[in-house]
Amino acid sequence: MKLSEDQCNNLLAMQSAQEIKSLMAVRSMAPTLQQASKLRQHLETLDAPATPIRLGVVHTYTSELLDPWLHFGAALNQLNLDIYHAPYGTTVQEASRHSGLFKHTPDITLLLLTLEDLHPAFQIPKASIKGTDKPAIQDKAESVLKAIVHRFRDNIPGHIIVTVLPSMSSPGLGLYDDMAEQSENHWWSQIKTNVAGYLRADFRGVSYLDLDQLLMRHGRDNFFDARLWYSTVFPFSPLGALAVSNAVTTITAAIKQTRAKVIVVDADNTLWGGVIGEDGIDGIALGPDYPGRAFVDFQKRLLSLQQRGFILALCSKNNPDDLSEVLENHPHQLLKNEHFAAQRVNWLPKPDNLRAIAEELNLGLDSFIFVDDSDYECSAVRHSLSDVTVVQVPSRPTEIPGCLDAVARLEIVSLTAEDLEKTALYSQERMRKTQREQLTETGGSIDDYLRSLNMTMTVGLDDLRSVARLTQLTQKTNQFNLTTQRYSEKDVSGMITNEQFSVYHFSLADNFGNSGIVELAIAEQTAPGAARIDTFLMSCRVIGRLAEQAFLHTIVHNLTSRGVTALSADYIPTRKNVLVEHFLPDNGFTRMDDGSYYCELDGKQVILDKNFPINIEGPV
Amino acid sequence: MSVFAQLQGIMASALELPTEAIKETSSMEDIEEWDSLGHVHIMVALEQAFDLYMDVEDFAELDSVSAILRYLESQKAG
Repeated sequence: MKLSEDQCNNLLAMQSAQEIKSLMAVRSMAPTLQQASKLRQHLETLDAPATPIRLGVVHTYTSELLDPWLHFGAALNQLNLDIYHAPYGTTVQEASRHSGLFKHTPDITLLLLTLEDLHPAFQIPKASIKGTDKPAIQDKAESVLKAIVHRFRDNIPGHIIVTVLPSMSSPGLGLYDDMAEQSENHWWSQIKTNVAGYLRADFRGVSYLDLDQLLMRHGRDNFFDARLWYSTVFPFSPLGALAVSNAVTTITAAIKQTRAKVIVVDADNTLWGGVIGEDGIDGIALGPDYPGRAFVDFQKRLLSLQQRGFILALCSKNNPDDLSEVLENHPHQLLKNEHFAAQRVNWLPKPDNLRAIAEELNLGLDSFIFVDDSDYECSAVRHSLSDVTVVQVPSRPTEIPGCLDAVARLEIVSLTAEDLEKTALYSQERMRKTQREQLTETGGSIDDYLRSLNMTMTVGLDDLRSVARLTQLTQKTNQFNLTTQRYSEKDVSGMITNEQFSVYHFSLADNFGNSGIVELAIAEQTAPGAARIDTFLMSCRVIGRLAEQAFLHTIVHNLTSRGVTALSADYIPTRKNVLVEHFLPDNGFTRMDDGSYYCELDGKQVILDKNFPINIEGPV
Repeated sequence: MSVFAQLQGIMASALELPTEAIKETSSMEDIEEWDSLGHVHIMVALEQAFDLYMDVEDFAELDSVSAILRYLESQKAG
């Protein structure tokens, strides 16, 4: 929808980039070129400092006309772009260490390709390609694309975003296309599925941006502009250019900004319409009729965000009993207790509650998204917790379901099995905490609590199947991490197959669930009888259960059995790992003059004889 | 606001120049930023601001401020 001058002036009065972006997305507002330039100037004056990004564009059609839209999208996402356009029509030539692209040292490289670049056969009408020729053409096109991406990946630093321009015209067989055996639409989706599949499997730091997703949102007639295409080989209408630029800058923001992890939602006028304390369980709007259906849909969206790997938490000013009645008994309430990793239902100020939730989940406030309908709460959080991204729920119920669609920090560029389990893991942690509180209230000790969990640690050694997760742990673990060495998958598998290195990990199961792989230790044999701990890290979700000590104990046992008598280790301080400052001295290591730590493995002063409330299993 | 003043604002933002840089006598020849890409930006911005649909043939002819003003006048009259 066009943006009227009044609406534009309203946006120009807003003081938060996220607020402007959300409102424009919710109402599908498309600024004109002139409005975009005004909005960009306004966004650049807002206080949050923009992240500088070097963007390289490699293109086989005109791309320079995207620039004003890219700069506008960047401003919306609090980025500042320095754009390099490769010479027109060059592709693999740019993937060399002598190219202008390489000199630009891009953070992001955007590849704007067309199907015709991948195989000359696509220059003739697709419907006229013989069925028997299709598999060979498709194979060739896919391997050409793979080779192009390979060249860029091998030579150009940064993240790569790959696009292939969708067809600008309706399929050759018209409305019958999808029925036909030689359907173009069908073939095109097959190619895309394969491309995305191998980019996911074979490459790191490469995203496929499916322009069809944008095309579907706006429609072919609005997305392309035939006049610009035929006269200047630029395919997009202003609306299409805006959509492409928004998507590219959103992905960039998702990569470059601190990843969000938690979505904290309010209850009244957010999860349902109305106020539970006043309207009662039968009076709130939630169910099959308007406006209740919009709220049901919003809850569905929140559940899909949980599927993307985000943790949900609830923060509401209410009587806890009123709220749990809805969570437990309302027939249309989709989000139940088990979906929330943490809850704060009380009358305390929300910033205090957010701090408490951050502490409970052991996550920084800079990973929080706060979703609330109230002006007062939103500005209170904006004011006192500037790290938190605030999304105000729109007042029109019909706009609520889509209100989180435009938040760049909720976009993901990968998805692991661990991500999907995350909320379950956190709610298990909440049950453990309840059990601990109950035990200690009745006079039990921490040891009693740990024994009551029935923990089993499964230790693994040099396991190639776990490379992805172990690599992720080296990338993401900041607090419980002695040396903060970041490794790539290639590094990790290299160490696993190298005799000199032992790569240990464990997962921890108890009465409440299994943590998955949460710890990694890498020991390097430096000389006969001597070893050095290169990496020792643990995910915060299992802190406080003595697992790290039991694990160190297991490793020491294993190294001793291999004839190691001298073990050295390091603690490299960072801004975030003060938690493990005393870990080595507390566990029998002595600090040496050069700042490193040392431990004689002859048994006495070490933790070897300690008895842990954990049953240890595995090949070690 | 006069049509020229409106046009000044539109062209200045399309070419990323200060408004004063756009004069009634300006043409593609004497503004460096008004190159072929800048020209497309101006055409797109004109369409959006005045709610027009321009033909590719019009693009080439509108190479000066006076030509654009004449064109806008004729559109209003038509």
